Amino acid sequence: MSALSLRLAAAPDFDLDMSGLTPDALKAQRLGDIKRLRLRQGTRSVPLGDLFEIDGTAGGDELEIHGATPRLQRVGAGMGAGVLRVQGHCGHWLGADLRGGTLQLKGNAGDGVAAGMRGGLIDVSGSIGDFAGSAVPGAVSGMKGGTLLVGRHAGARVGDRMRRGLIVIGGDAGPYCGSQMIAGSIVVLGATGSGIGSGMRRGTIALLSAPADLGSNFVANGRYDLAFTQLLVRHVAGLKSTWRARLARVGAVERWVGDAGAAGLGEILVMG
Amino acid sequence: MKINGVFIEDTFAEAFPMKATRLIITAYDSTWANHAANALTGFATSVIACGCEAGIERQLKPSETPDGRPGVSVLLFAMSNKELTKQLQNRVGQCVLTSPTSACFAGIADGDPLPLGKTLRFFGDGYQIAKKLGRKRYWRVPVMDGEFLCEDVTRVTKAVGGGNFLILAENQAQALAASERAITAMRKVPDVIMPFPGGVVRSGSKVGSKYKTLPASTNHRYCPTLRGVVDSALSDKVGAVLEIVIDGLTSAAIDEATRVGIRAACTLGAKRGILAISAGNYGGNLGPFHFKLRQILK
Repeated sequence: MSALSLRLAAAPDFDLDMSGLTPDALKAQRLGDIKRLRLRQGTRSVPLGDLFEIDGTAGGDELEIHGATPRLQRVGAGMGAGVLRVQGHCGHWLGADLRGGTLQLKGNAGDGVAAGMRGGLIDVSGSIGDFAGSAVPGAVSGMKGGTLLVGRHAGARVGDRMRRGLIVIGGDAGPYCGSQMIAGSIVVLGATGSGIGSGMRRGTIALLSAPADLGSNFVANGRYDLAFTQLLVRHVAGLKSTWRARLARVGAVERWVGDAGAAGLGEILVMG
Repeated sequence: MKINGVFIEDTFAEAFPMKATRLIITAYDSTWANHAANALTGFATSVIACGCEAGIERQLKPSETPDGRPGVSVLLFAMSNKELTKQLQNRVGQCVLTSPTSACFAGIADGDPLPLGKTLRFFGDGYQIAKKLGRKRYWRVPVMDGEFLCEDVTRVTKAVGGGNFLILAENQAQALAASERAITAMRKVPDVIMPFPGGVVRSGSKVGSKYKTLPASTNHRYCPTLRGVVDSALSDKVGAVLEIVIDGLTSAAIDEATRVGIRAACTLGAKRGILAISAGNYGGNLGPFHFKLRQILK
């Protein structure tokens, strides 16, 4: 049985809200019904069949979206189960409020990736915008579970107000990475910008290279050979084979604690 | 049936259902992992008075452990989930958490959860850190040498306890030599432990006693010094009997350990004083698992 496949027929002129187009939501629907589903586009709604060429078999656990453009907003938002594969570049709120399943994007995505995520896996091959793993508008806290993997770079405020879960950035992370973190773990394999961990209460930010600028609210805590570091490194290396070699040499870590201006129980581990 | 001149009695070992879990204990090196594992499995020979039966299953290479450090795999068996939970809390709390550089992980993936770090974390007095990686939750408890890393829960599985066989020899030295050979061979079998000191027990017991307060007492029919006094099960030539008790995660694992152990014990042969192999049972009425020696050794 081939996966249900949606191929964008033409680049839309306005943003399209892709909420609800998830494998679990479409599983119980027939192909004809799926074609008649209406997507919000600006102030109007448009039938899915008018926007996408639809192939494959309905009723499965897998869904593919081909030819994505940044006009596609909220791709995979609220997904609960199954596998969603996307090719192209997506707009904002990719995988927001994701509860389970796997969302794979071959391409880049905009702001708010994995915002409010509660479970499952999001794997982005390219780069993403600001506020990944942060809170959805109106929510008190950000990501509450699951794993976000980013192959290349991330924008500002990765994991802002994050409460639980794991974010791994294969490239660089922008300024204020881990700002206001409540808990959870962020691993950055590339460089980080200014304001890292600003306002973090608890949680872990693990870096392969020393941060360019660590505010005075962080206190040097010493150099340690922590069993947890090896557990984390092995877990991350198991998530993407291309990261394995970069993590192979991790040993003792420099530990910084803060933000003293918040609860002060967060940590920045410099593993390089 | 004879192996190398050693008579294999047509009898069976009678075993009982138990609840078990496996823990992976790691440390800075294998010496310290073993210190923790030995402490954890100390005073855990029999559920009669120890609460649980426990032992080291095998040594683990760094590549086999979750944190990439040398480790030890340990099995614990108890009669109920409640008792196993209690024993885990006490033993991991007092013997592993306390041991320098140690960490403790679940060694079984499926089954009902039993709290491990979930309750031990409170030692951290609020400074403990929870970490969830994939589907597993871990606790980092600050201690004086750094951190005690412990998985949130381990898993319980149905298991079998009380598999056994008896080595009947002309004297103590011969019985001991055969037992040592058996244990060396059996320690290579996965999913089993031999919980008694050195894997061997000399005080085989029967259910009940003439003294009302005792649940078990000496297996008088197999005591050579009582020959001529009681209805002895021993021939005139037998001067010493040693027993090997086996607890396993499956009855198949106990089958294999019994087979390997008896064959190893019999390599000494009748010429070096090993007279017979027998097994302990209660007539087959108490335990649902019967390990028939001759069938296993076919």
